Amino acid sequence: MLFNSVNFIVLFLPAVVAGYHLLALSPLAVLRRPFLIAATLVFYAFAGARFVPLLVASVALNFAASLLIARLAERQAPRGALVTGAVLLNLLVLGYFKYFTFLAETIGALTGTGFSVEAILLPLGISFFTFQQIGYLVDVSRGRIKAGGLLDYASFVLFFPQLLAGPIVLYDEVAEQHRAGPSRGQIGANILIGLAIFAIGLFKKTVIADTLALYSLPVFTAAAEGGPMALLDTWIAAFAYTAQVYFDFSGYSDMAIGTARMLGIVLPLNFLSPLRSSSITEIWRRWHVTLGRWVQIYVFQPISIPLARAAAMRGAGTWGTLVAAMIVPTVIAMLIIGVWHGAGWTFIVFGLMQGLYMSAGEFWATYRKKARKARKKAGLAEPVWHGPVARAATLLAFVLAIIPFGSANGEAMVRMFGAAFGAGGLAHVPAEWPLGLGAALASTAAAYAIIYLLPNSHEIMGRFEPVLEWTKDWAKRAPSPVQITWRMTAPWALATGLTLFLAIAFIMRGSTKFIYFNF
Amino acid sequence: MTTAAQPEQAEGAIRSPWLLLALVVASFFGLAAATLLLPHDPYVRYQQLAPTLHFRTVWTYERLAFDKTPIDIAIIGNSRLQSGIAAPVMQARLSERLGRPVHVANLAMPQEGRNSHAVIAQQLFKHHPEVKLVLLSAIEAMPRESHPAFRNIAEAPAIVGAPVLINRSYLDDLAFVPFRQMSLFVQTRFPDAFGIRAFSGEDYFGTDFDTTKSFVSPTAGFVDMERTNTTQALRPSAQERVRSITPPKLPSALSWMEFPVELHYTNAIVARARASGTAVGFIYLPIFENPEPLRQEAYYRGFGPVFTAGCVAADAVNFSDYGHLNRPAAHRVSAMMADALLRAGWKPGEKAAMLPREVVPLCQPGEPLR
Repeated sequence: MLFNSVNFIVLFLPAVVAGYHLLALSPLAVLRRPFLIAATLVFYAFAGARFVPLLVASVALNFAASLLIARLAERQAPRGALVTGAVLLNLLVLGYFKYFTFLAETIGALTGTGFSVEAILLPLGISFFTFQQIGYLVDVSRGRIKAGGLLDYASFVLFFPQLLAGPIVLYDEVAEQHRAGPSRGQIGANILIGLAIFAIGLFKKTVIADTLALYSLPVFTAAAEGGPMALLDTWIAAFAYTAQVYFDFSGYSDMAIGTARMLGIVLPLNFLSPLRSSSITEIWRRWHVTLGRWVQIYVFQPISIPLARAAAMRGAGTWGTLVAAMIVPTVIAMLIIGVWHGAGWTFIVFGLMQGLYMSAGEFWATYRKKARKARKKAGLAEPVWHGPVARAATLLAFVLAIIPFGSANGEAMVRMFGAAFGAGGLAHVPAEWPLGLGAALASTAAAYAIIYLLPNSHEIMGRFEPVLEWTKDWAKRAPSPVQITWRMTAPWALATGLTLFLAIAFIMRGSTKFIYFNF
Repeated sequence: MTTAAQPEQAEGAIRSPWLLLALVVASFFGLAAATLLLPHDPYVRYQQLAPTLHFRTVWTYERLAFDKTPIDIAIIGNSRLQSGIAAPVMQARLSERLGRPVHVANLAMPQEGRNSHAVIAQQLFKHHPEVKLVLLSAIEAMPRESHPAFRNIAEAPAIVGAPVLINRSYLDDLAFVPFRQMSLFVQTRFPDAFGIRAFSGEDYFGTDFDTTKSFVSPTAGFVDMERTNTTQALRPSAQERVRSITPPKLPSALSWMEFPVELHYTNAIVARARASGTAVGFIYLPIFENPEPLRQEAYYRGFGPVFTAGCVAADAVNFSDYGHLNRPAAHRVSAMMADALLRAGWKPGEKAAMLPREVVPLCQPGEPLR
């Protein structure tokens, strides 16, 4: 079942929200969490019933592993092998479904045998729930969290708002919330706030992202099918697709956050206007935040810390330490993020480009460190052009990296890059573009105006702590030029009704699948 | 860690969230209802089907709304009728046999679903009240589905007022209305921007459009209706299609629950026809090698004759695919249909004449198609 389906919005969601709260307030409150877990399995079954046993088995095995790890941790016994085994088993399952076909085809191509296997259907959300469970196992092993009971653990993983496409949560962020349940006096407010967040997210998906898809898809399709393409339309498509991915996935995250809020659960932030960033490193602190955080905790740090120690012990100097402690772990982390999105050379290129961008940024920052300090000491401000130029360059670099991300295969990616640099001529207006070139430009420009000028969904809902640690950590980080704040008033209720109406109406225009469901 | 339980602290004086929730819901439904009031040109509505497999339904609307040539017999139904009955052949045969001009229009469209047939019938009676006979499709077992194009071609109130109970498409059709109404309103105001055309003779397929000929579909490319087939080529798909037929599962007294769309809209078409003094009949064209008896034949027969062409099922050369006659066979069946109508006593001059309520085979098994 998809968030952007009428059946979910009109039938499933109201039924689950009502059932959950009624149970919570009744003498049968003990059934509240089992009800939510059962609802999640129904939700998942609608997306792919054949994978429900896999999901249940994954939860059961990881729970069992976590108990064993916790027991060893209590006794302070060695548990590295067990944790490694459990993590590898998770990665093996993920690898089979996600990478086996690609691996077989690559081996076939490299050895010249032409060996290949039939495409394997990817269980929806497997990348998300696998990473979330791996994080849990490692945290239990490190003693960062105490292993929960079966109900706690199942509630943590089998929570339909964020099961299929995140945010990837940490156990200690949500376990207590699940345990405590909804507070009687807050149910109405939480449903209203959740509905407002959900409406904004759905609007971003069906009205904005799906409109941009009308202009990006024909060009990416032409690249995949060998159709005509040229410089102008390729750049328009690349910019449109970048904005589309942002509105699509941040819209999905909003819907997940809103749905969870209707059930009284506050999820972590996943997007903070990343395309307004002035460096690629900053983008990745604000784009798919929970994946970045996961990679930071479970990949980057375990590589970076020992390498930094080794560099320091060997007296590697500023540049050597930078390479060991920052550049190598960064490139590896970004490659993992790239490959996490899918099996294919395009995703490897995507990850590699991000890693190289970030490395270049780190080198530049290190190189300019003294000059920056001197400037600061002299009380000189940054030149006024610095911010806008940095933002523009960052966006341009990111848009270039989005080309492989959106390309169907390596050949399509090469064709896209070729056309972007003039190989196909100056301009070709795809016949599929509704209302032609003017509308393509206007739609893309409007999307970027929204990105740069208007507040993001969390800023709009900022008075109501829309995500975890909003006031403490996030609220002041990326303020938008225009401030709009949702309030619990009649005009804002009407505005929410209008947003919800347009968002649902536009589902029926023909909504595309969420891009991140591919991952 | 912050949790969900803090809104009042942040907001200060707060209105009742339940009241505000009610306002959200009310404004949502108010806006949805308001879209029903947005006017549009019905021709724009039908042109939405131009890029789909229903593209020939645009001609149907043009034939009904813009072509004043009278219609004596209208054929409304599924793709089997669309490809299996050549209106020009039938009308030529009837005109020849009766010694006076008779006008036949084949308004059938692909896919099952009586609700779309009812919409076409409504347009028929609105623009051509002179129609004397309506022939509807019937298949082996009543379809349970709603027609996928219903949401596109029906008036908004007809979608809202469709039978709700056990109509699996109701919610989706209903949800489609607001966007459709807004889109049609804008397209009617700015037709050039959306490639909407005004009716002109240039694009019109003509009064005597033969729906049995080969055509280029916007979705399927060239569809060859001249093709003849072999038994080996057709048998697997025909058998698969027959296996997919689900017989009625509930007792006939509960068939209104099982076939709400078919029953509701067939009754509605018949009632509308009777109000105009128009006769109603049904045509069954078979799947290759499977001249299945109509399981609900008694229901259809209650309204008029049921013409069956089971006799053509045995020979693969009659079919372009497992369930559709090719053009040569369609032309012969169309002539036989005209003959069968005359045998059943149909007279074009007598509008109110009701035909006998019986099964009328177009030919006998083994009888060669003439």
